[in-house]
Amino acid sequence: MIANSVLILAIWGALGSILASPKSNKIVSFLSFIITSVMFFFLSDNYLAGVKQNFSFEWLKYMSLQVDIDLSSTTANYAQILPVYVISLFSILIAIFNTEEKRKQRFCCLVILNLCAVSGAVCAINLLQLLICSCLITVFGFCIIDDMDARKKYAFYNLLADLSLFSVCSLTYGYVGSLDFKSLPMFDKLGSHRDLVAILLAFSICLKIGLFMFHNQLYDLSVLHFNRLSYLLFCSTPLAGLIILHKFYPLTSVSVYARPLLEVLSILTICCGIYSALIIDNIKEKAVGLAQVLFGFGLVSFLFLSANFEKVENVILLGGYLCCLILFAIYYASSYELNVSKMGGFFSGIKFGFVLICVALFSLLHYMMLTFAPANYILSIIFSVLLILITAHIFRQIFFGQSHADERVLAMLKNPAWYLILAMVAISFLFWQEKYFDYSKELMGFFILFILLLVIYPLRKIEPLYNKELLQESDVFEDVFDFLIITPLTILGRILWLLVDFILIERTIINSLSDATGLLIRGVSKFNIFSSWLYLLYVIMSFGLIAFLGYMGNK
Amino acid sequence: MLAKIITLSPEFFLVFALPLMGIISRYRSSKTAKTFYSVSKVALLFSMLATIVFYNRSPMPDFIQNTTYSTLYKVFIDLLAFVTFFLSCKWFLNKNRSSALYYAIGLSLILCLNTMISAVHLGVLVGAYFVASLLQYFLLQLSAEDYEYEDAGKRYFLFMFLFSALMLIGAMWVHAQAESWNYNKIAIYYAKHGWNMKDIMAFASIILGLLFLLGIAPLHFCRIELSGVSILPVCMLCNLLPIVAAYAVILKLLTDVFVSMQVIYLPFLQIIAIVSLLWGAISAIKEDNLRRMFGYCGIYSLGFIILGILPFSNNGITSSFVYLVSYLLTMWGIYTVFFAFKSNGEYLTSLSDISGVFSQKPYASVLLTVFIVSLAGSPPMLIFLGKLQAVDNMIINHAYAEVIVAMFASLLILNAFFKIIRTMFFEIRTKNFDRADRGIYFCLFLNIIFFLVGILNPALFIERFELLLKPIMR
Amino acid sequence: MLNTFSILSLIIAIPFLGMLFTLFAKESADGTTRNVFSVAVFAVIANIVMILRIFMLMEVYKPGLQLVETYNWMQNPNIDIVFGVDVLSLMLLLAIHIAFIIGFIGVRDNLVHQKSLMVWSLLFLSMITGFFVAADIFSFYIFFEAMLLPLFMLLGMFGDVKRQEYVNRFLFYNMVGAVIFFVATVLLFNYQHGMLELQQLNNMKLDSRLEYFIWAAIFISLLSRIPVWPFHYWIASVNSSIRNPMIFLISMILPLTGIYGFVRFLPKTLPAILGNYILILQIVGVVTMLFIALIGLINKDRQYKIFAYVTVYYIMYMLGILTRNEVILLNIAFSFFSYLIIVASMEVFSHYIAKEQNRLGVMDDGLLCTYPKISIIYSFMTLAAVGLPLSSLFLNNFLILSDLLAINIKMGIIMLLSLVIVSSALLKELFRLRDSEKCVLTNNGEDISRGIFCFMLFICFVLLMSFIKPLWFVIGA
Repeated sequence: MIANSVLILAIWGALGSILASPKSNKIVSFLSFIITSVMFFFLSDNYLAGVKQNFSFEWLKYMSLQVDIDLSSTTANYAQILPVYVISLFSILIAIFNTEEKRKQRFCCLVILNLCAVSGAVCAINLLQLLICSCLITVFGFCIIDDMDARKKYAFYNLLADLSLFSVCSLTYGYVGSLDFKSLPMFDKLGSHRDLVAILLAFSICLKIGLFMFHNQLYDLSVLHFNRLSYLLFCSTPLAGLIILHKFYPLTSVSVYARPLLEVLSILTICCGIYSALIIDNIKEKAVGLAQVLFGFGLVSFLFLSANFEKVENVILLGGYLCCLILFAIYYASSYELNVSKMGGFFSGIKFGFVLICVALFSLLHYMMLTFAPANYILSIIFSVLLILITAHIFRQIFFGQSHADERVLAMLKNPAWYLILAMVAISFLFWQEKYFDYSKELMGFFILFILLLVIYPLRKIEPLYNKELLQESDVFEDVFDFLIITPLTILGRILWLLVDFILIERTIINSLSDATGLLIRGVSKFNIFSSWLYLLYVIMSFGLIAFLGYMGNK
Repeated sequence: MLAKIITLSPEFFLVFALPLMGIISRYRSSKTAKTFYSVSKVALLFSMLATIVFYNRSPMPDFIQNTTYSTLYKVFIDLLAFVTFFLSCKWFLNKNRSSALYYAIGLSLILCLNTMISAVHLGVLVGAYFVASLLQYFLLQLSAEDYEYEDAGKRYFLFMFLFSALMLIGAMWVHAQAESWNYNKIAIYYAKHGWNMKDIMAFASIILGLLFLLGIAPLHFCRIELSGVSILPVCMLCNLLPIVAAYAVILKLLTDVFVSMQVIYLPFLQIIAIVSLLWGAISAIKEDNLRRMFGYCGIYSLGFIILGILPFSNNGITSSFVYLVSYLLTMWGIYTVFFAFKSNGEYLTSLSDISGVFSQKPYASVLLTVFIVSLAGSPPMLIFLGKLQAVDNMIINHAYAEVIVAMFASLLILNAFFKIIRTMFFEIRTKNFDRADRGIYFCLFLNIIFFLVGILNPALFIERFELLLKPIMR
Repeated sequence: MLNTFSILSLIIAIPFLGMLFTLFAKESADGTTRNVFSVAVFAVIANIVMILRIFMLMEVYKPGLQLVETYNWMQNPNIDIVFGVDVLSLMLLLAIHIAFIIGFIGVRDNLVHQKSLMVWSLLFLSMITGFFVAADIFSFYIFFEAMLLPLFMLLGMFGDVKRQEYVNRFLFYNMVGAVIFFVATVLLFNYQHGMLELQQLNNMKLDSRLEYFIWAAIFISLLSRIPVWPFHYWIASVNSSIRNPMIFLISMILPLTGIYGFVRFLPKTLPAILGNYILILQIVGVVTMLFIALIGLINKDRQYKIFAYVTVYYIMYMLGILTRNEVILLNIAFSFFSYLIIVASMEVFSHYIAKEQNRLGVMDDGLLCTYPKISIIYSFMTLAAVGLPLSSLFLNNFLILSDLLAINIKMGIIMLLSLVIVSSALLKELFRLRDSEKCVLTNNGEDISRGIFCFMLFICFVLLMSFIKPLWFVIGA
């Protein structure tokens, strides 16, 4: 089933993006939505019915390389793909009806193509399929980003990530001699340079997901439309990073450095996300911060507690997307006001919206408890509290804080658009599908805490930080990378060019050879003078030479 | 007697043409260069045919003997002369000058050179050498209107005379020792009695005279100097024909007469070949006069020819001859292009004169490039074979230092060649070039046909050359 | 049924005949050179058809040279001209021919010396075709040297103002290589007492001194064509001076001859004596890679960036070939196919952009926004060039690198680093060209015609297909 859906969607997506034109913008987008919905329903039906189908296409069959494209429909694959379908569907829906989205057809088709690439990555049973799909996800993500600056950083980070992954796959294949993921554990026995492989893998994952230190690329995406930003945060390269981590998980244990590195960076990512969500004024960057927090939660639980990957993925993707939708709804309600510092007192204008947002938030908290608590109860509580702390802080500012908004914004306050409401409701509904009352006490506690935090507003002292331009604009890691990597490389390049090309080759070797030839020419030209005496000398020398040779011969 | 006279017909045809030209010059009113060219053409043609017909008949076996070897060289000289005369006719017509003297001296020169090639008598050789050298001096006089040739002419005369005298002395010494002028007897004498320092000096006198005619370094001076001060027809005639004769004679003397002196002349030839390679290559880079530049290239090529022939193996003789033939074919082509390069009726000599010539004369420029590539010994041109043989010989003799020098020289000479190509193709045209005669293009076309045949089926030439060169092979 | 006896000679002869036809083709009365251009393009297309036919005639995965033709050039010395092909040489030939067509697109509006450009280009094509089908040491050497003249003429006639100096460097390096190769050829010829087929080199047992010298000579002469330090200098200086895409393309193809030389000359099992050479070569190779990649990163000239990219890849292929792994060789052939086409396309469109920039008198930042068709093609080619799965480059480089990394991890890492740097440089350039913020929208911009755009889309399709299956056009492969 997955194979069929990938095939149909790939054809539709490819045709749609090639033949994109303003005339067919809406109709193609709408048809894209219909097709994706149909596929989604078929897939979810099969998932619920537990249908399994094997699909393997023999792609390459060289002596050196046998690669099969695997798109088998298994429960695990369904579980991983379906959340992506959900997000894709709502992204398409939002794109169709949101007036800010201009190139609807192109976006929808790219989302569909990306969906195919993600499906390929999830179903991959060999290194190459995953590598190819990861690269394709990068390409589609690149196309979805419609801002040049954002594209630049995205492309460089992902190029590095893909090349690192490429190296990991090359090395693994070189030592193990098999592309199959099942053979990965053998690398521990057969392979060498384990530390390098594991660190490269960790590096690739960090870059893809945008973990701490490598998160700038995600923040740069905040210039995009909210819908595109939300989609990219959860269905593009960060998701690819997650899938890579999942598939290559055995490799992280071949070195003592890789997993601790990932663990530390995951924790730091949570911190970084909390910081951004609380301190950064820009609502889209807050969304990125929240996404980071959720990715951090997911990774910590997966790495430390070996939580179920499918569930962790659901929390990250659907939960993160829901958070983004919440902020998107606020952003929409405030007539696209970007800065939280210019909001406040919105509760009176969008009461229904607030209630809906709270419901959505608690649905997420419920699902987080369901996912994380079986692995570690305390940690799940901590995660939930942290999320409540952040959201309560933001909601307090936006809904109950002193209003800094324009009169125009206040006057035009409206409840979120129906498609946003639909998306939030649908995702919240998904979170309540199983075990309704397992964590009702905890949820009650969270609710009280949430109310308390709204009322007390404990982090009110950090509110003035919105006005600190240094904090809002700073891009520390970019400066650090620039200082530590780019600048030295540039200087090294210049020095090498000057030393080797210019001084050594141009000035020394080439000039010396020219001078030597010139010397030879000048030397010989002295013997090319038209003079009888010189001619006579040559004659005598020739005689002399024969005489000498004769003398030597006689001897 | 009649049979002997008939056998001498190649020489007679050439001789008869001389008074005929005198009569025409004296009595015919409408005489042009074409008239004399026609006479020379017919004389040459008949002489060549007769040479081929009587290839193994010797009218005076004690003095001159015709073999396939001599016939090959003589026919080759005739062919080159034929082309030279044809092109010269265009030159004289363009300049509107009398060509009687040129053709007359030219025919005489051919006669002398042919005699040298066929000679088996040292006296005849020296005599023919002297007359040939003198005739070249007379040819130089024709350049009086165009160039200040006096100093160069005097120097040439002096050294021509010196070498003729030395050759005569050398020949007389050899005669005194061997009591014969005949090549075979001299060879037998030296084989039997060995040689001393005086014999060596006599040998040196003879061989250096011939090397002077060949124009190899360091005895190349007059050839180079005269190339720059002689008119194009003379330059072509004196730079192509004597080389063939000198080469043929040297080869014959070294393999037939002075064969016992190998221990001296092999290293000597090796040294002068290397000197020629380097001297020719280095000097050509600096030279701006095109004719002198190609003169130096000639010295370089002769260096390779000599290196290729050593130590006179059958393969070496064949491949060197192939090199020589290809070199002369190439030079024929190059001189033909020179005939095509003229501006306002003046034939161009300086490198700067042909700046950007490609834009106006693309075919001639491209063909000159082909000839230059051939001269550089680049495959698949036939000269490459000679170069290959030369390097192969050096490797067989473990003369690796010489290989390095030869390769260094071949790199250096490329600078000169590419200088010409650069000037023709890459620089901006400064002159307006005259339209070239169709005959010149025909000549070039003919030359290219030879080239193509040589490239596609070299065996066609080489196998025949091998057969004809048998008399001097071991 | 085609006579296989002459088909290889025919693919050398077709461009040569094309050259002759071009030489004698009459230019139109209005000074345009459409005739000349059409003849040249026709000749190349005809040869592509022939090459595809050869693919049909041979067994693509059979090892060794096939369709061997022998022509006795002369008997004393005994020299046979032998031609033969395998998948590697044919893939390279096909790529070169396609690259030529792309190159011709780049110069179709050229009015300066168009005839000369076509004539020398076709001559070069003929010579390089001969080089790739050469199966004996003499024909190999003949074509190795013969291709220099057309390139010299092209560089001289279409180079920059400093062309004399650059052309001198080109000559110096290449002629040194050719002369050394000549000596090695003669040595081998002498040792073997005659004719020597390239395949026989594998079985030759040379004495140690001779072996040492011959390998040194072969290495130096082949390296003189490859931009490995210090030979990179001529290529770098020549390429940065060229402003004609066709010439750039041809000069970029030249290093391929050096790389291919290694394929043909190195025995399957490397003699012990080569150990030192190869180690040195590996060290010099990776250092050059990194060095050129870094200079490519800092250099603002787009041409240099493309050159840096080309160099890094060439060296990677060279190091791959030194592994003497048959499978790697096949992958290199497949990889080269895309690589050459990508480089040709990038260069042609980069030149087009530069030309438009000069015409409009604007900066090239954001210029691609005005040219959507070029933007699509250039972006595709850049993304394929950096190694995304859009061409056979991706898959085959994966295999090459996996082998190289397994053999020598340090070398592999530096190689990867270099690849990252050059890829970044190309991406950076692409972003600069597509920077919509700096875009100067103008109505005067002339995008490529629909016909060329369709052709380039077809080329993109060919590249994509090469990713899916490198020999997709061969039935039953």
